[in-house]
Amino acid sequence: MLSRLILIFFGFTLCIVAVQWDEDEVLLASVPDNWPDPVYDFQSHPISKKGFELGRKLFHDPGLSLDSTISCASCHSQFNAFTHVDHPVSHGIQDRIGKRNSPVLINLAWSRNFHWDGGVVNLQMQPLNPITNPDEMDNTIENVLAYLNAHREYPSLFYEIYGDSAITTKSFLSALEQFTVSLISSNSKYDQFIKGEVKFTKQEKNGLKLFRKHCSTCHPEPLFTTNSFANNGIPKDTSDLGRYGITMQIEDSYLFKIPTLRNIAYSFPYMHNGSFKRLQDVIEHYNSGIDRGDERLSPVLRNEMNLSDMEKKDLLAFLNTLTDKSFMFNRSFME
Amino acid sequence: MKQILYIVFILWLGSVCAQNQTEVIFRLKTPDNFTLETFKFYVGVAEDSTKVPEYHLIDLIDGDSSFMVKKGRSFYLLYGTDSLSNVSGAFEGALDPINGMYWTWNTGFINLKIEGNSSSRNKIEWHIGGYRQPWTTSKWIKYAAEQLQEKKLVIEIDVNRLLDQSEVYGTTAMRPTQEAHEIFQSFIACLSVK
Repeated sequence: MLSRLILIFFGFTLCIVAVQWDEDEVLLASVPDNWPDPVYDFQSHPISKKGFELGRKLFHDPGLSLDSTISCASCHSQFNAFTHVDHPVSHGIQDRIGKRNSPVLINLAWSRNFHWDGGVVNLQMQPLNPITNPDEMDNTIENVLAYLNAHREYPSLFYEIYGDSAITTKSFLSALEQFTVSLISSNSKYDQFIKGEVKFTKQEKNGLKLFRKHCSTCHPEPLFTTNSFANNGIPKDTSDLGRYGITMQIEDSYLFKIPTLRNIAYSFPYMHNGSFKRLQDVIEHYNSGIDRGDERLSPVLRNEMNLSDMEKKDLLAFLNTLTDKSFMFNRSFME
Repeated sequence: MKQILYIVFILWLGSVCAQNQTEVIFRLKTPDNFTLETFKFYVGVAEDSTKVPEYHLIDLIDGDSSFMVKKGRSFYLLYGTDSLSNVSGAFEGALDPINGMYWTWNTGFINLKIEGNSSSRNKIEWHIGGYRQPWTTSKWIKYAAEQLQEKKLVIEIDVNRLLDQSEVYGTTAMRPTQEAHEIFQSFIACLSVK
């Protein structure tokens, strides 16, 4: 009798695990309906479960940094919408201070360029930057490959996917990309509202109206970014010329990438230099904090917003609907 | 006995193949009073200039400075890299970023890397790359069949002439700019078939 009970119990547990994994699979693979076509080609480069899991392992592995202290997840923590909270700019190994605020990793499959200056144009190649940047992981590709190839588990994991246990720059970066491209957030309260599954409060509805009037030129739905570059009135800091550093075009100076606003409530501090701690501060900045006379300022920010205190609260309530708990706490993203 | 026959056959096949090939060799015309520490560049081989070429990383200081092509047939060399390869994912072989010819902060290959010291000239550090118009750093050159009748085709690089450009462009170049584009043009002008 007891053994039968144990069997039933195990069977039941297995079912739960299976159901849970199925849910994860769906979350992994789904490109949401009515969204623009992703830049990443899911058809010809599908995400495999094994590839995703290997990418996830690499993403959480501090062995990629020079002194084995920090992983990708150190600055891109899932519970903070895959960024690093509390620090205005990124912290590397030995607490070296970087130049800019670490960005969120959300819906990267739709992004044409990466980093605040858009210097990197291919998601697969992006990790080479933080891995080799002296203020971040300060490592070399040679070291990383030597580490992976000498590892107890990696060679056989790579063999299962790529048919070769000798890990190369290409197989390493492809595996990591399988994970990062799967970080899709499309199930916030906002998304459920658009699909007619939930209702917005009066405050949230008014917030959406205000958002569409004042913010959506640069942060259009459903991705909440244009993926282009703008000056949003943050006081000029001559040590960081932003997009100019890439294009060397004078008109691109002090322009920075427009970030997505998905899961914005969790990704504080805000802006490329992390200068705002609270979302209220950001709203206040756009409402009344900008020097409207700055010639580099985005033309759409020339006019004051003139929001009342109530309207600011409504806008904030709407921004909070962009939080996607099923993304933030998706167990399949965890180590 | 059979094994010996096989070996003889393979050796014979190898020698026949070698006879049908020409070795393209790059050579530096030694600069005056200048010690080169690095002289590397990308070169791609293709039958015509619309194809994505097969890449070689030429390292004239301590690496490969030659490759084989088919004897007696015209071919194209792309000095630098094509723009599509610059924005694609990772490659293996010559274009592997592990070779240190790739910018991680501003996507793209370093198509030409020259570093060196001299008593008369200043230290030079030129990392030349860029695929965006108009400041591209690549160039297709056709080599005619009649240039490929011999076992070897030697292409010489007049480094002195190239280094003279440092007086115009400065001694450091590290990003895709107009200067990089012009230094690359000078590099092309310094190539000659011997």
